[in-house]
Amino acid sequence: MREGAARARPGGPGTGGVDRERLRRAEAATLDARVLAAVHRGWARPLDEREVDALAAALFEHQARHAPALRRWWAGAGVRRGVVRRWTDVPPVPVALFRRARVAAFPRSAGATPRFVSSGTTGASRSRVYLEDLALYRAAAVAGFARHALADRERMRLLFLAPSARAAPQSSLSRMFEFLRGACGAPGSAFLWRSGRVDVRALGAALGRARAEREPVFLLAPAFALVHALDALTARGAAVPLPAGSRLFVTGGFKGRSREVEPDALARACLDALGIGPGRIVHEYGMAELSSQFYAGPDRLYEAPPWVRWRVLDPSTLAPLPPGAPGVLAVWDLANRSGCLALRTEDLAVSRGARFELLGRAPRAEPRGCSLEAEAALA
Amino acid sequence: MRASAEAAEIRSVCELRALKGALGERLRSGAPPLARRVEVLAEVSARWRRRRDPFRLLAVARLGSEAGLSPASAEAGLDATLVAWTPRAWRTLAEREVAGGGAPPGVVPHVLAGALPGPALLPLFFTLLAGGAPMARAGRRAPSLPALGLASVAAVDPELGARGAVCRWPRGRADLLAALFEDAAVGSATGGDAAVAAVRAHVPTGVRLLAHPSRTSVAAVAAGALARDRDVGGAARRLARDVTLHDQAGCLSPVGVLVVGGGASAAERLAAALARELERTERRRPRLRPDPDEAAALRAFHDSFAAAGRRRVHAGEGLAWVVGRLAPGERPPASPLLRSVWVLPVPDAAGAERALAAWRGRLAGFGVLGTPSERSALRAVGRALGASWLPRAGRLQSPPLAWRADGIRPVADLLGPRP
Repeated sequence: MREGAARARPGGPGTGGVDRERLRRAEAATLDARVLAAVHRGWARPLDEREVDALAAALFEHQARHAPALRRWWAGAGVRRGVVRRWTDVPPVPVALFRRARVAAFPRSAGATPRFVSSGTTGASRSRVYLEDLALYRAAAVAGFARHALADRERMRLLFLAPSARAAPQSSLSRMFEFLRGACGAPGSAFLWRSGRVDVRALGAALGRARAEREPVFLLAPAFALVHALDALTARGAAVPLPAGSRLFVTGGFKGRSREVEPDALARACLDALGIGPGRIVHEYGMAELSSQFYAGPDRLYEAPPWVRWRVLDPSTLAPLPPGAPGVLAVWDLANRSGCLALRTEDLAVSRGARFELLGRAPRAEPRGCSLEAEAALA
Repeated sequence: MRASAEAAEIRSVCELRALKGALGERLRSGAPPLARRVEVLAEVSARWRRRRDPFRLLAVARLGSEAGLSPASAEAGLDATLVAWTPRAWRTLAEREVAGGGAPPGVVPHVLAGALPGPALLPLFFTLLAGGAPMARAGRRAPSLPALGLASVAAVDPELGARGAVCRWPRGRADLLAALFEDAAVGSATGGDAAVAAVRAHVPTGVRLLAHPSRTSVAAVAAGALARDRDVGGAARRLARDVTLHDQAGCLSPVGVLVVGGGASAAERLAAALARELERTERRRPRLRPDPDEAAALRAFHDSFAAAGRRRVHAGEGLAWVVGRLAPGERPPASPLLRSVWVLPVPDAAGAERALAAWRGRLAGFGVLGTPSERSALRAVGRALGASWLPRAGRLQSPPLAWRADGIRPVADLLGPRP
C-alpha cells in the first residue's frame, strides 16, 4: 500500500484504510497491554531503565506513525521514526500543541471529540485532550493514589470537593475522582459540589456524620475549592476536628478562583479547622494532558510513578538542568499511549534528586517594565 | 541634607517622616527662580547625554548590576530617552505648564517602577521644575537610577538637588506607603495595575494620585512602507529599534506589529526581516539574561506560535528574541516582553482597530509607518484606541518631554490652585 494513498483516506471506508486501521488497533492493543502490565507491576517490581527505553521507543514509533501532529512536531525537532532508542531521545512536545492541534494516535473515526479540556490556567485557549480509551488513565490514577494516599487500607470514605464526571464530563480531575471513588471509595463517598461551588451544607453534614460514626474521611479537592470550603465551614462554625485517620488530597493552584493561600498557611488552616495535620495531607500534581500523576507528602517534593520519567529543562535552551536549578518540567508518561508520550509543561520546577519541587506556572507576561512591572509597593 | 547617589534604606515610619520633614524644611527657604530651575534641569539633561558623564557612567553600571541590562543596551536606552530632553524642551515645558501660575506642590510622593530612565527620573525632575520637593520610593529593579538623577541635579545646583530624596524599603510595608503619602496634596504611582491599585488603597483621601498603571504599545505598518525589499528592511530596522530598547520593558515598547494591507505574505516578509534585525541587534546589544520564570514565559510564547507550524516563528539562540506570526483573525497573545513580538496581518485601518479592540484604553504608544495618508489613517486608529504617543515607528522610545502619558500634564498637574 502506498503511504500517499493511506494518507488520503486515513481510516476511511476503502480497503487500505480498513487494513491500516486494523493494524493500528492491533498495535495499540499490544502497547496498551504492555503499559498496563508496567502499571500493575507498579512499585513492587518497577520497570528498569532498559524496559522504560524499550517501551518509550515503541510508543514513539506508534505515535509518530499515527499522530500527524506529533509526527510533524518531532520531524521539525529532527527526530524521525527509527532513531529513538531511549526515552531521552524523544523530544517533549509543548502543551501549546494541544491547544492548536488534535494530538491523538488514532483516527477521528475512533474518537472525534476531546475526552478532556484543560481548565485553562494560562488564558483563554485550552488544551483539548484526546484519548482512545480511559483504561490506562484509570489504571495509572488508581495505582498512584493507592500507593501514595491509601497505602494502609483498601477503601475509605472519599469526599470530593469537585464536580462529578457527569457534571463535568470534560474535566480530567473529575474523571480521575470518579475512578478513585469506584476503586477506593467506601460507602458514603460523595461529590459535594453544587451550582459551580462546594456544597458547604452537604459537606458540613457529611463531616458531622463522619464524626458521629467515628469514621475517618478522605477529603479530595483542588486548592481553590479547599480554601472556599475552609472559609465557609469556619464562617458557619462548622469546622470540627475529624475522626483520627482522616486525610486530605490537594491538587492544583488557585487560578484566580479563590484568595491565594500559601501552602504552609493552608496546612495550618486544615489542622485548625479539621484537625488534619501535615502528615495526613497528600499533594498531587497532574494535568489533563498526562495520564499519570505525581504525589508529594509534607515536604512537597513530588515523586513519579515507575512508568514515568521527568526532567527539568532550561527554558531558553531546553537542555536538562542539574538539581537545584529552576526550569520547565518535562514529563515522559508511558501511560499516554493514545495521546503524547513526552510533554513539556509550562510549569516551573526544581530537581531535588529523585523528586522535584514544583514552583508553579510561568507567568504569561510582565515584569521589569515601567508600566508592566508586576512589582507592587506592597507585594 | 545632601543628595546621595544611593536610595536611602527606610526601616520605620519615624525615619520616613524625618526624611519628609527635612524636605519640608528645605521648602521653607523658597524655590530657586523658575528660570534657574529650567537652566539646571537642562544642564543636567545635557550632562546625562554625554557618554562620559560620571553619573551616566554609574547609571549604566547600575542598570547592569541591578536590572541586568547589557552596557550597550543601557547606553542605547539612555540615548533614546534623553534625546528629547533639550534645553528648548525644558523651556517650552516651563512656559506652558509652570509660568502661568499654580502653587508649588510641597513634598510630592512618588512610587516609581522599573529600570527605565524616563519613569525613573522625570517624576523627580518635573517636581523640581514645579517648585516642589520629590520624595520617591525607588523601583525594585533599579533603585539607584532615581538617586543618581537627584545627585546629578545636586552636582549642578546643590540647593535644588537637596530638595529631593529617594528611598527604598522591603516589600509588604503598607505603613511606610501610607506614611509616604500622608500630608501630601499630590503624588504619583507608576507600575502594574495591581501595584497602582495597592498604592491607591493607601493614599489618604484628598491626595490627588497621578496614576500610571499598565500600558503597552503596538506598531502598525501599512503596505506603502513595504513596497520594495529595501523598504521592508528599513521598516524592520525601525521596529527592531523600538522593540529592543530597554529590552522591551517600557510602556512604549511595542509588543506587536500590525501589517495593514498586503496580506499574509507581507506579514511573513516583514516578520522575517524583523527577525534578521533583531538578530543583528542582539549581536550589538545583547539582551539581559532572563530569570527562569521569564525564560519559561518566553518559551511558552514561542511554543504558542511553533505549535501552529514552525514557519510561524523566528527565534534567536536561547530565545534571545522571538518573532511570532499570527494568521489573519487570530488574537494576539500576551507578550512576555524581553524582545518578543507578534506580527499580525490586517486588511486595512478598520481591521487594525478591530484587532486591537480589547486593548482600547490600555495603549500608550502607537508607532506608524506608511505613506503620509496611510500614516494619517493609522494615527486616527491609534487615537481611537487611546494611545497618546503616535510617532513614526523607530521613534516610539523618544517621547517629547511634555508627553501627556495617561492624559496627565507632567508638570501642571503637580501644581496646586493658583494662589
